[in-house]
This record gives sequence, C-alpha cells and structure tokens, in this order.
Amino acid sequence: MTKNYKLTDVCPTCARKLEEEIKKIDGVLDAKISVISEKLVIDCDGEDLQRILKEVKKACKKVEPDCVLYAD
Amino acid sequence: MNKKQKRLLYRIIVSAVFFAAAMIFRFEKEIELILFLVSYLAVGGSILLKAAKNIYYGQVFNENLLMAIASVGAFIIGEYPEGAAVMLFYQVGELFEKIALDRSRKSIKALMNIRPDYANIEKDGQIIEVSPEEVKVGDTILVKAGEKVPLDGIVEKGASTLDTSSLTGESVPKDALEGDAVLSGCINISRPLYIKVTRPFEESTVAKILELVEKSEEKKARAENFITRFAKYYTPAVVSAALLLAVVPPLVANGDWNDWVYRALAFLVTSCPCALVISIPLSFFGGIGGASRNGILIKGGNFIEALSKADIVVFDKTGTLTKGVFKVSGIYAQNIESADLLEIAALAECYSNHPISQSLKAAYGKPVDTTRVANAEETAGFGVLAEVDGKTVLAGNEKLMRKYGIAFRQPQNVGTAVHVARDGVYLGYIVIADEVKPDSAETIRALKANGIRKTVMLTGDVKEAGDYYANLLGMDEVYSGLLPAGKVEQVEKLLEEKEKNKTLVFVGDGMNDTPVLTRADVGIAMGGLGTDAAIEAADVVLMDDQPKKVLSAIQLSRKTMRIVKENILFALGVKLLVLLLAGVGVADMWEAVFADVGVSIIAILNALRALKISKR
Repeated sequence: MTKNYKLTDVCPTCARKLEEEIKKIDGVLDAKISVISEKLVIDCDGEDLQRILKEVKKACKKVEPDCVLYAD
Repeated sequence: MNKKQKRLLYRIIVSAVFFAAAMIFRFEKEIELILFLVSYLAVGGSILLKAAKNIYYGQVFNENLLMAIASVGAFIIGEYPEGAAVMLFYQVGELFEKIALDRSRKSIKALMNIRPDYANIEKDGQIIEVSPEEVKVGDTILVKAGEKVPLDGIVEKGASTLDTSSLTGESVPKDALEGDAVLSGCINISRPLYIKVTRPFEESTVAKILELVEKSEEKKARAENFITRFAKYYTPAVVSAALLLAVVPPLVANGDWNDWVYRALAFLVTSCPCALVISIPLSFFGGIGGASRNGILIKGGNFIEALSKADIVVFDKTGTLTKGVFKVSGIYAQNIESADLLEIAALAECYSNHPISQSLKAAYGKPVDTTRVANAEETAGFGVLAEVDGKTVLAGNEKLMRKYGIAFRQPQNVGTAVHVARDGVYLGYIVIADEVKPDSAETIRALKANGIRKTVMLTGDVKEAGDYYANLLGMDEVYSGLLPAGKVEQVEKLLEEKEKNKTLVFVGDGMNDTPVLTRADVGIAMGGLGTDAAIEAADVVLMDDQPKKVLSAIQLSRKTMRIVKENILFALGVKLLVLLLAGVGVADMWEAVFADVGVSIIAILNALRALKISKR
C-alpha cells in the first residue's frame, strides 16, 4: 500500500538522503520525496504502520532536524 | 512569508544591527568580539544546534555542520567580521531561497488550480453541495454560472457557454447545448447547466490531468540526474579539498597556518550545491506546469529534453492534420443545376447510414422529404438505386455506373466521387473530401522554420490522396496505403534516418496508433483525454486537436532546456571560479559567501521563467 505525507523544510540533498534512510526501514518497499510539491510517498507492506511512521519521523529528525512531517 | 520565515527575518535584522555597529564604530577589541558574537549567535545559534545534532547522528557532509565549521573556524583564527558575516549572509540567502521557492510552488499550484471543490446535486428537492468524489455515474449535477464543472458528463438541460482555457489554453468560449459532452475543469460562464455525470471523479478529465502532472516529477531528465549525481560527489570533494588546503601547504611548504586555514574556510562556504540542485527540477516542473496550462500535458522532464531535440516530426493524416470529417468539396453537374444534383443525391441516399450519405445530407442542409423516395436499395461497395419523384436514380461509385452501362466523367479531384444518373442519363458527380485543419499548413511551415529537418505524413489512404494532402501542406515526405503495422515499420525506418542525439516525434489522434506512439522517441496524442490507451502510450497529450500545439510544445521544451543549461553552466561556473580564486587567496570569505548565495537566488529566479512560457 502507498501512504502520502506532506513534509516541510527539506533541501534536495537532504531529500535524497532521507529517501535512502526511509528505504532502510523494515517493511518499507520504496520511498519518494518531491521537494517541489513537498510530498513523501511511501510504499510499504501495511503490517505495522504505527512503527513505520515512527521510524520515518525518526529518520526525518536525523537528516534534517527542521523537517516537519504530517499526514496529507 | 510564513511564521518560520518571519522569525528568521527578525533574527537577521537583530544580527545585522549588531554587525553594523561593530563595523562602523571603533570599540575595544573585547567589546567588538562581543558584538560580533551576539550578531553571530542571533542568526547562527540554530545552525550550531543543528550541526551538533548532525554530529550526534553521524551526518558529516551536512550543510549546517559545514557552515558551523567555517564560521567557528573564522572566529578561532581571529577573523571575527568574517565569522559573523558568513553566517549572516548564509541565512539571508536561505531566507531568500525559501521565499523564492515558496513563490514558485504557489505559482505552480495556482496554475494547476483546476481541482473542483464541490458539486451541486439535488436531494429531496433541495440543492446541496457534496464533494465531487461522492457523486456517482448517472447522477445529475447542477453547475451554476461562474462555477467550475466538477465532473465529466453530458448536458441534460440548459444551454450555456464554457470557458475551457484552464484545460486547453484557448480563450474562445465554447457552447454547451443539450446533449453536448462537457469536461470537468471548464468554467460555466453564462447560464445554469444540468449535467448527467458519465465518469466518476477519479476517472474525470481533471483527475487525469492532475495525476499526469504530479507523476511527471518521477520521470527525470538526464540533466536532472546529472546534477543529482554531481551533488553527491561535490560536497565530499570540496570538503576534502578544504582539508588538504588547510593542512598540506603549512606542513609541506612552510606556509602560514592562518592564511591557509582561512582559504580552506572559504572553500567550505561554497560547499553546498542545494540551490543548484533544486533549480533544475524546478525549471522542469515550471515548464510542465506552464505547458499544461496551455493544453499540453507532458509526462516528464525526460520528454521535455527529447522534444527539445526534435529532428523529424511524423504526422498521422486523418484526424491529425485533417479534420477526419468528410464534407462535400465540389459539385460537378451536367445537364442539371448543382443544387438539384445535390438534392437528388441526398434523397437517393437518405436511407443509408454510410458516412458519405451523412455528408451529402449535411451539405443539402434541409430536412429530407422521405415521401419522395421509394424502393431504395443499397449495394455495399457500389451505391444506391432508388426511385426519387418516381424516376429511377443511381447514386454511387464508378463500379455502379459501369454495372448499369452509364458513361461517366473521370473526376480530377482528390476525395470520394459520388456519380449520379437519372433514368439512364448521367447528371454529374459530387466530391466528398476530408478537410485540412486551418492551422496545419502554417504549423508545418513553422516547424521547418524552427529547425525541424524533416516533416513526414503517414496515411492509410490511397497514394493519390496522400500525395495531394502532402503537397497541399508542404510535407517533405509522405507514405500512403499504410496499415497500423505498416506505420510502425515506417517509423522504425525513419528512426534510423534521424540525426545522432536527435529525436523523432510522432503525432497522432490516438485512434489505432498506440503502437506508433510507443515506438517514437516522443509520442504525441491529440484530441484530449478521449481514448485511454492512447493516453497510456503517449508521452505528451494535447487537450485540443490543433497541430500548432505541437510547435508550442517543441518551443517551450527548448526554452525550458535553455534555462536548465543556463543554470547548470552559470552556477557551476561561478562556484568553480570562486573555489579557484579562494584557493589562490584572491577571493576572501565575503566574496565566497556572496557568490554562493547570489548564484542560488539567480538560479531559482531563472527557473521561474520556465513557468511563464504560457503567458504568451
């Protein structure tokens, strides 16, 4: 399943790093960030969404502390 | 400006005040240091904090950390003004960049503002507003004057005019009468319309356009991939160079530590490629957004790149360069008035559903009095035999005339001839031909003038017809009598002929030409969002069926690519120059930070020009 999120304050370089980090999360199949439309699309096996979201947020904090993530 | 940006602006003002005070007035060294430190911390505190977090998470090549090192380093070697200035200008640049980026996001959003917010439906005798997603196929919606049509459908009741400019870029209003199909995204100008919904919202024109544009970001152009790859190596390379610069000359050549460290710090200031990186996708997105506003949907940056290198443009004939609607183009009467000949033919053919008889009836223009016709008999491949006003009339092709032994005139025109005879006497013939679109010839001319090497026409029609239209339109080549498979074959031959690093563009109306659309470097489907297969296969979809939009698509692709190249060359050039000058000690940290911030802002502003293509 795919989940859409909005995210703010990511520069293109951080976006690429963040994509890599999110792809490493267990259960995430693919992640794409559009800097222009400020969107994050995650493709995941919908088992443990709560945990995945938590880890995605953690990855955001790690790569770009300013980045805010919220549901689209 | 949003809240975050405003807060940054206040911090910049505070910082600038302290900075100016320290620069303008003469103070004791200690007081000066305090003033610079206050100025520095006002703008740089948050960066230092983020840098600390970056270290904690092991993110070394992060711009926050690099800026922190550059500025702290400057303070350590005693260059207080530089230390504060670097951070101050860096933050000014960040603020400008964010504002410019927000602006462009907003312009793109405004451009794509075709999503309807609500639909009016009648429930229990009352009109209520519901979200377009909730409306089902077969429901009737009310669109009042001034409202956006929320879903695709057919006019059930009412008559009005529609503004289709947000879909097609055309400003001429279109009539919407009972029975007409209406596309979502249009704006109803004059009177209320009751529309019977034919497609759910997810499949509506608006939803499809938005999806296409949104997905276009995924298909990246080569230029964009190049920059992303470049960015990956640029920062580590610059940082390593800075490290070497700071350490090697003092150790090896006995250089002055302070001097070389200073040069290295100037290096760090220019180490972030972010603005350059974002200006490229921004240019492409701007180009795609601008194009979509013009009724040209481009499925990705890679197709903008390919379109800009068009060398051969191949057109399908029927429905693309011609209207695909058959009309009476000439009446050649013998022993009778032209109008009477047309009347007899229309009457004789009145029971036929063949496209030719439809054209005859359309040209006749009056309701056909079927009581004057009796014993009509149609033979497929020949024509009609009927009694009109009690006289035997033959209307059909040459074979029909031969069958009944009637001498006929050989037509000299292109098109289908309908010969007519009454009671064994030949009365002449009527020619029915496809009409060329008004802007076809002009488009072909303009394509040639714009550096397209070859224009080609493919058609399933016979050679005479193909040659006639190709000549009329000024095509370079024409291939006639082709079946869909033959068209693919021909395009493959042409693909081998094109110049290296150039592209072949195929333009069709989406009927039966999906294989060719796929095979060409760029497949352009005309006539909007009619056939789903064509939209899937095409790389570019034109909302209306004007050939001149092909020219617009090529021109705006070229403009977008020019902007992209300008940005790459300019930004890289300035960065390398600054690195060079800083390395040899000519440019100081001031100049480095100015160059870096300045280039970013200019590149983003330049990218915004791609958006303005549509406002011609």
